[in-house]
Amino acid sequence: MTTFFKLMNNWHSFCSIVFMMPACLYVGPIEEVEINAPPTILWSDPPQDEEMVLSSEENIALVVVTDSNDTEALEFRWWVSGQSDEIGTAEISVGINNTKSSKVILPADENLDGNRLYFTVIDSYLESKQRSWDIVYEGGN
Amino acid sequence: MLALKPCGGFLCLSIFVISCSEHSMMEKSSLDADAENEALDNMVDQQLRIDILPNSTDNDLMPQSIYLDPDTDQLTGLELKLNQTIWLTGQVQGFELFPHTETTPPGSIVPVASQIVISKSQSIAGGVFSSDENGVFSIPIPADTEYQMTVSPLAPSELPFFVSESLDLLNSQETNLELGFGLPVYGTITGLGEWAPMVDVQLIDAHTGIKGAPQALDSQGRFMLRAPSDRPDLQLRLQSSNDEWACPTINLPFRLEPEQQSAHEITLEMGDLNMVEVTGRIFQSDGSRFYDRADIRFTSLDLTDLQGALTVESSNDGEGDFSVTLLPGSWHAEFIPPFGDDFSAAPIEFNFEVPENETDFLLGDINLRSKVRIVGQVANHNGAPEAAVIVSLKEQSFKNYVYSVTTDPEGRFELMAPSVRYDTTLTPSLGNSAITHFSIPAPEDGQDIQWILQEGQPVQGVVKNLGDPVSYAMIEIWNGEKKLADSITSEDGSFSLRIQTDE
Repeated sequence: MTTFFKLMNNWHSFCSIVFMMPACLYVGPIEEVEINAPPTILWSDPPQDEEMVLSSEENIALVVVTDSNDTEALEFRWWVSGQSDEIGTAEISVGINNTKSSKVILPADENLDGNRLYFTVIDSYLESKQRSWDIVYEGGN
Repeated sequence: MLALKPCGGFLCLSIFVISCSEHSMMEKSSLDADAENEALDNMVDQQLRIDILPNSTDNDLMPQSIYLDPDTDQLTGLELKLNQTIWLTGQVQGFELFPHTETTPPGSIVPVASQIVISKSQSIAGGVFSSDENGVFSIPIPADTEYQMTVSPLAPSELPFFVSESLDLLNSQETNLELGFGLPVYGTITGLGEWAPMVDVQLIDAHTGIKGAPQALDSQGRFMLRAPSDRPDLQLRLQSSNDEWACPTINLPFRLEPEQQSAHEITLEMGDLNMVEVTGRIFQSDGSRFYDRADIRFTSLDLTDLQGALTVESSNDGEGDFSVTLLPGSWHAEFIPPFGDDFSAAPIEFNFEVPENETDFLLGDINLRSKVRIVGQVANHNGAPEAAVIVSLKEQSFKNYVYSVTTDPEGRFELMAPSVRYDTTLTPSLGNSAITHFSIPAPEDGQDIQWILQEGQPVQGVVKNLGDPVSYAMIEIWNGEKKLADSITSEDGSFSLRIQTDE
């Protein structure tokens, strides 16, 4: 506390000498500074650190996200390691409490075995969150 | 680049059916079945179906459907109670015998490794399951009535498939399935030469579409399958088992009379096919070569002097060149560049003819189009601009890619996407508007589009399992074949959305 009052004393002294006033007063325009909240991954299926198992004809990966900046546009991207282009069939839905979800359906494709499935959500401030899973092929019935 | 080798020949189709097949009876039977299905569809169309897909961490719960009648049921304050999972266990057995003539030697009972499909009409309940090598199976399924079950033998495969069209599964139970003798269906496909083992034959139940296990022809083009004796209307399907080999899929319908005891012979003669190598080169819209990899798909519309259908998929090389082997006839071509913001090229499609009596055909230069700028504004049912609406455009053809964007505070949106026909979904995040679906023709570049959300009808409730909420389950609301809305339950199992009530 002693240090604090010493600093305040210096500040008062500076303003009194320079501006002939007992204190400094800011009279410029006040600008609102918007602080972005990054998106949050609430839940995923498969869960984090588990494998994306391809065991049936259609294998669903689903991620539920939220963002407190509720009007900003979230972008969702899915891709598989080793493939040059994004997965183009992802679908988005809206839940309650300002949640959004994105899902992709992967076929039981043996060629995907050993690759990694990636998901990224990006907000309009370009802040992002990512989740990924190892893909394991167990045969599509 | 994919090299396609030709399959056997011009189909001089001559089918010798030893057992009499009465087409008039089969047609009448099909018509009756169609009328019944139409009546069932009309009845079901008046209902709403809610598909619930619990997440994979809820191991005790299985996907299932719940029905609501909008005229009599409240659509808010719903408490959707999931049926408990029961287990169907047992073993599949059959008679191992290999009759290649009408003489049927006695066999011995053996375990049969099988594929088991359980389904329920107008429901997502069920699935495809495999037994172990000893035919032992253990299948989780939500307790319910009127399931269909089919069993297709895999090893040994020379056994009839099994169909049960009305099966009540309300409690866990053990069932041993006996596939029976069935009736032999045998014959020879001639003219395939050395490619015969690359053709599979398979029996299909004409009414249900249920398929038996595919079996490869032997080197002489011979096959021997066993049909279930209680399924009269069947098809024999021939199709290539090798993706790199262009052989059309052919379905040959036939009928087994209920009292029939004799084997059924089907013989097919195939002459030489006139295979044509079709080549071309892909360019960007600016005239430069297309160096990325495009998916190329050719689908037959009408093959010359040939029954059946064929789809050939390929891709270009690093110079944009492609080469595929096709049969003479009418074809539909699709050239589909990769998805993503990094790619500006858009897909194209067109029809063309592959000529007869040629070995090569130059399709020429394929000029991809560019994506177009799609702009517009979304308003709610009161006409006020609606922010935070997810605009999703799903291609009606090609690979059904989905292009999405969210409206800004003025309800406006802009995205780059191909100029193709779309199934459009507007999903509001705020306010009291319905998830709104409609189809649109190919949008023009820069065309300003105005869309209005419907007010719709709220559907709201909670999903429960034995009184506990089911969190993060997928909810899909359907009216017949049309999906009206989808959402995810929250952590407390609740969901709330609005569905479209008018077209």
